[in-house]
Amino acid sequence: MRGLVSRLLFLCASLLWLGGVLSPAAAQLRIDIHDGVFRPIRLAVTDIVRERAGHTTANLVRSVLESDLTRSGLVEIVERDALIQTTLSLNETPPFAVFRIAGADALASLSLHKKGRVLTATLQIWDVALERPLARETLSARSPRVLAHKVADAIYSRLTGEEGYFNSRILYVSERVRKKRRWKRLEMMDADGANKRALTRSRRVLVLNPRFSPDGSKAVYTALTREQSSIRLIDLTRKNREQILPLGKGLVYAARFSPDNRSIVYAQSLSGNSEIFTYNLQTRRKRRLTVHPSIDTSPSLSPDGGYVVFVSDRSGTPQIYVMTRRGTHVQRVSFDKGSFSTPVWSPRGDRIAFTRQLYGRFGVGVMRTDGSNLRILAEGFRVEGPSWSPNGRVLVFFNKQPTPKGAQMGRSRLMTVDVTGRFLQELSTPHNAYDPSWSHAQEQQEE
Amino acid sequence: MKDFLLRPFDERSMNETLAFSAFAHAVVFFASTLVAWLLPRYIEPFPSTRVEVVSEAELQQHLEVYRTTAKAAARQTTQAKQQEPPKEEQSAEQNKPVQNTVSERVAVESSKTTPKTQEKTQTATQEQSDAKEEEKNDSIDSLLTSLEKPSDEEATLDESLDEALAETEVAPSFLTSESILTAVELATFRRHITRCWSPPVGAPALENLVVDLLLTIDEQAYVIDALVMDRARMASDPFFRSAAEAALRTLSDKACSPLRLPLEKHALWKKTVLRFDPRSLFGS
Repeated sequence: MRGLVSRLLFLCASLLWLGGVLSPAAAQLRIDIHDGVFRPIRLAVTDIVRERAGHTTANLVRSVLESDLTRSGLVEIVERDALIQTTLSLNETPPFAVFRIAGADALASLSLHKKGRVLTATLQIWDVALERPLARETLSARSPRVLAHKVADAIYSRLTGEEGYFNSRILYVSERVRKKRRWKRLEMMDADGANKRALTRSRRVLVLNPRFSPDGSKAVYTALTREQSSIRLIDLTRKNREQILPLGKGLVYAARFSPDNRSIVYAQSLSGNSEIFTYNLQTRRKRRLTVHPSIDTSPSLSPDGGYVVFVSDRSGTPQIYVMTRRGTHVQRVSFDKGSFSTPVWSPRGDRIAFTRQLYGRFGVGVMRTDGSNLRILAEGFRVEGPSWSPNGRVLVFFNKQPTPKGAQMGRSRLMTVDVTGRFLQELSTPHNAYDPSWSHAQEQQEE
Repeated sequence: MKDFLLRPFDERSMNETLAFSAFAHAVVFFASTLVAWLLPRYIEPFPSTRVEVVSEAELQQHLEVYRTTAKAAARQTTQAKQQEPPKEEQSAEQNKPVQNTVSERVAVESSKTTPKTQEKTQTATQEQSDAKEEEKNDSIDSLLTSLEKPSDEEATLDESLDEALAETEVAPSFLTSESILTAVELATFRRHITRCWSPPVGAPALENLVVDLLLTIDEQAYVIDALVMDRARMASDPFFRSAAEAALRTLSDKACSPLRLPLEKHALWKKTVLRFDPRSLFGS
């Protein structure tokens, strides 16, 4: 019996070996492709099917969503004139060859329905190249612009695999000049530069470093008056009610929220020595994180809340350091030439954005959290203050031009750049703009 | 043997044990020798173990060596042609259906491409030989013309050789085989596909966005079927799904269809695993 079993085992092993070695079915050619040519996904958008929604509303939705997708750099809209067929009902399978001729990779058809004050859009996305449906979604909002942003987010997300960021807002400092006097105020706008509105109006307060809370319901900023500096908290859900945080004496600045919205990290200068603190908004307790004779400033928390990235000149020049949230295990991560400032942890958690000043020029760049793979994405006379988009793919920063002869000051504008450095674009603002902060909330709250 | 194995240890004699051990060692030795001899014969015809990735620099080196050897061989063939009478040339060409060396293939290719010119040169040589017989005194002139002619032919040969190389119709002799794709064929295929692949730029964790597609390709090099090998991730990972869809889109692009593969080697590439690897692009 034992002999029979052993013979069978031997036979099986031999067959397996022979099968593995000799089977022609196992023969497959393997070829690796390491190189490619980037081109945006070409999207055809058919005419919006309207049900009780006005023509103007439909046009607005279409123009906003096309503008959003084009601005991303990853999607290119096929011109309407290039389409042989411009109408398509949602339940109809499109004639793919017709859209392929126009050079479309994907197709989006949309229907708009209005009930009361609520607009509802049904979106159908098709892959023209692979001839199959990709997604069908129903989205609703009161404002046509918000609805368009949501539709753009859905298309972007399905085509690229990333979260959309069009339905978000940007806080920034707007500077106005009148009769040789200048004053700064806090303003907020949609991510595409529309819907600008002021949050502060006082001319006696100098506004600096505004930052959104991760849920988008609050914001903090540094307010400088002749008497003192303070960090102020704005509740955006309660008619922008302001509150001065009791953080003690000394210069307080560079505040940011923690990912759980419960506390802030900030820098405080006491008798010339700047250190990093946390302040719990619920318990109102303050805690010191760094104890060092050098200047420690610009703290930013990692998305999991476990680490703090900050700037310190303890090595001689301002460089970027990382420590735990308790202030232990301080490690230097940047070793490049130049002075580093304003480090910000990406919402994805994989990169840190920063400002670098080298040989009199500023640059905004990114690097991995261990300091490797440092890349400068944009350079200029004064390019500074990066802030991440909600999906961690795009950075917004300000770019100040040198002052031309005869002018009072150079123009400062907001710019966006993606992490590859390929798509650099301007966000138009009527006045000088500084210190942008991108909200990380996916849902824009409608008023 | 059976008795020996079944008997308890303490009952076996030393001689019996030693003999059995020697026999067992001998069997193992012969078996391993046999396997080592047979294994390469069985493995050799299968392409999966033979296809190698050749770097651009290596490829250029191979091509350089190939160019010089092929040109030298082509020159020799031309000289031989000039020396031989035209009738012999024709008969030799007819009796030689298999082209063994690259130089021969190039020479034949070039002669095939310009049959009218060849006829003209043949008649011209015939007339020349007649003239030579008649005018033996003008040997210096005929020598001069014969010195001039090869330079023109050499130039045309160089051109035809360059064309042949550019079109990769002729593979280097040291790489040519029915069972493998040559470095030139691989490079041509890659260059072609590269133009149609739009990699996922700026996506996080590019090291995880390597997409393997299993292609079924027909005899005319059109992709009949393309399957994403990691189907589970298609459903769970949106970044991977987008990367895989971009890879699939590459193959449906008209500019890349049919694939640039040597049609005579269909058996080799009818089932191909194509790996789209964006790790070296844009930093990760």
